[in-house]
Amino acid sequence: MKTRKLIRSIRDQLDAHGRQQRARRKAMRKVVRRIEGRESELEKSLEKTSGDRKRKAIKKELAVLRAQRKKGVRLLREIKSAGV
Amino acid sequence: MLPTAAEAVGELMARRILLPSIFIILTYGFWVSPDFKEIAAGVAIFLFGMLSLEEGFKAFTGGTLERLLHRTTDRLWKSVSFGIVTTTLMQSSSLVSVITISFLSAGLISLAAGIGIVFGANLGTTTGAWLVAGFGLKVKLSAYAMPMLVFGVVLIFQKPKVLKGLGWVLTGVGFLFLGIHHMKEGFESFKQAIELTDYAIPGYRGLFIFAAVGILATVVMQSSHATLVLTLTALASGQVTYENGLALAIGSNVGTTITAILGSIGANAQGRRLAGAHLIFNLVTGGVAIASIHPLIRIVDGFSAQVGIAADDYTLKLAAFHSLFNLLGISLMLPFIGLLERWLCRVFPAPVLRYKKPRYLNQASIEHPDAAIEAVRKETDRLYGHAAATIAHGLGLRRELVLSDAPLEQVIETSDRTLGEDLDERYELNTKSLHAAIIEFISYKQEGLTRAQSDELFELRTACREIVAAVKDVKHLQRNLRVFVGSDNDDIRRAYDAIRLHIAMVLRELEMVRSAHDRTTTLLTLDHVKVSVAEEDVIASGVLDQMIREGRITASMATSLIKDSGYAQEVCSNLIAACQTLYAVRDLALREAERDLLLTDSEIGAVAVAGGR
Repeated sequence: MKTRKLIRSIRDQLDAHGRQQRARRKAMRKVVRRIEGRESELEKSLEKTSGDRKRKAIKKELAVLRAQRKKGVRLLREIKSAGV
Repeated sequence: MLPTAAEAVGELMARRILLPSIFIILTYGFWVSPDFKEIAAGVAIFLFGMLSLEEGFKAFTGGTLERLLHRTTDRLWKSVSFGIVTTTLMQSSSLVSVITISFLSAGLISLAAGIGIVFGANLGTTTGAWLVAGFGLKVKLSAYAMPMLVFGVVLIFQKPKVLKGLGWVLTGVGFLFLGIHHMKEGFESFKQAIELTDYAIPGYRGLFIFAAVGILATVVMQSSHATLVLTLTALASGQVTYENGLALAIGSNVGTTITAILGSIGANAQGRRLAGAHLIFNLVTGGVAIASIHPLIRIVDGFSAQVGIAADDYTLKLAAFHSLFNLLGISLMLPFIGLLERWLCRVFPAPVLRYKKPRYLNQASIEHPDAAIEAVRKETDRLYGHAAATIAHGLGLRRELVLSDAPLEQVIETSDRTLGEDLDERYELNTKSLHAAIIEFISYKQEGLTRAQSDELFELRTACREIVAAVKDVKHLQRNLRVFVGSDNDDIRRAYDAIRLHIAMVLRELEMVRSAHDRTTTLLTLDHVKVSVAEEDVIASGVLDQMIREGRITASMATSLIKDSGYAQEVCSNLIAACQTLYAVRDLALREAERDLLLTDSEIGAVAVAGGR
């Protein structure tokens, strides 16, 4: 484990672009996870909500979150396939 | 933000009188005594060394020091420790004071924390005397100085910022050593020509006179460090007596408050309060030191005997005295920080604000890049607040109702349909003047920024432009709004009410984002507001076509509605874009990730068409 960490650290020092891409992927994963969390909160809230207007508002927000999550997953795949 | 005319004139007069006087005195001194020339050159080299050190530390303070400042000022003991440690490392209490005033003016730290830092800085600065007395005067400093200067200059010419900074630090230390060396040599030779101790004044008279000389020297050189080093070198060569040397040290401590007072001239009320605290601390410390000088001398003698300082090593004893009376000052003042803070707030009250004057943009906050950016961010937030109020008034709505939980349809229904509020005057007084102040401030802060900081300022400037554009669009919108919100034609009246509702809804959503404590997803949260904006586009939704086809509105009304719907869309888009900049998460990597995930216009349109199914 320590050796792997050392190798990773040396690689980071030498490969600035790779380091940036890895940082980008890490941040992206964090944001996508946050969106997923918010999605599941809203889905639970939708089950408990009655009233057309409120349900419509929650559905709208869910639609936006789904679109953002799908975009995030697609971007993560692109970064991964770029060899990072 | 910039010094007032009176302040500028005062500064000009001081420069016109002081500068020529200094030149005349120096020229006369050089003509009369070559040894004085060496001492003065030593002081000049020493001061240049301090400037180089400051330059060097600025390279390292882009981010690290500021993050440290945020984390270490939540408790008083942390603030004091921060002041001690940073001043010891940077050997400049002035730099620490200026950074503190800058951060205080931008609202990044509290007044109590700032006072704690200043107290700590006063103690931290005494380490310089220890270094000079313990090491500087006992070795041939020029032997160390020369290689430092050479390596330092080589590093200064390197491209990487860190190496450049290191170069400036090394050069700075080299110049400090060289300056001390020349001062030492100067005083040694000076002794041959004139024995200054013949002019020594014993007793309390000498104490006050030499304290005054110390204050004057520090004011002229703008550096208590330089005065102290001059005193130590003079003491080492026997040019001043020990008692007179102590008085000079006390005077240098008091004189250093002038730097803080000068630095607070362009600051807001908080900056002036800190300068006031600095002055009071040093005056109290100086007064206590003078009043209890003999007991303090006895304590220093006792301490010196304990730690092995020779009885005739007056330079080290002076360093010990300097630390002791500053420590005494901190012990005396620390329990009264709360009282001091309240008193300072009474003496320097925050001015009653009129909307047109900026609150955070001032000379102090411009000094440091991070403080400047934060000041611009806060002022832009303030601009947004005023713009939102202006927009609400322009739509004939009361801002507090728009931002309340009351159903917006009801707020619109019961609103003022005469729209009597004159937006032009509001725009001129509140929005335009603040915008101009922000732009002026940003234009003055263009140097010494990293790429990331420059980009941030550019984004904030764009946000300001978007906010002002939104207000101007409401001004255009108001023309037809006045005509149609009170119209007999139900359809056109409902269409324009829908426009007001739409903008009010966006204002409400944005206010929720603005006041949210957790800013972690605000950038992405605004996408759903954009979807709502897209859904309300009357042209895209086909509502307008239907109204025209069915003859419910005239063609002339239709063209007005098309134009004004466009204005409404622009108002909402501009406000959302501005908020995305203002309230985005601060972490750069997360912010970039969120930006990548923001939905494009076509993606927003697709979600709007899908209708949240």
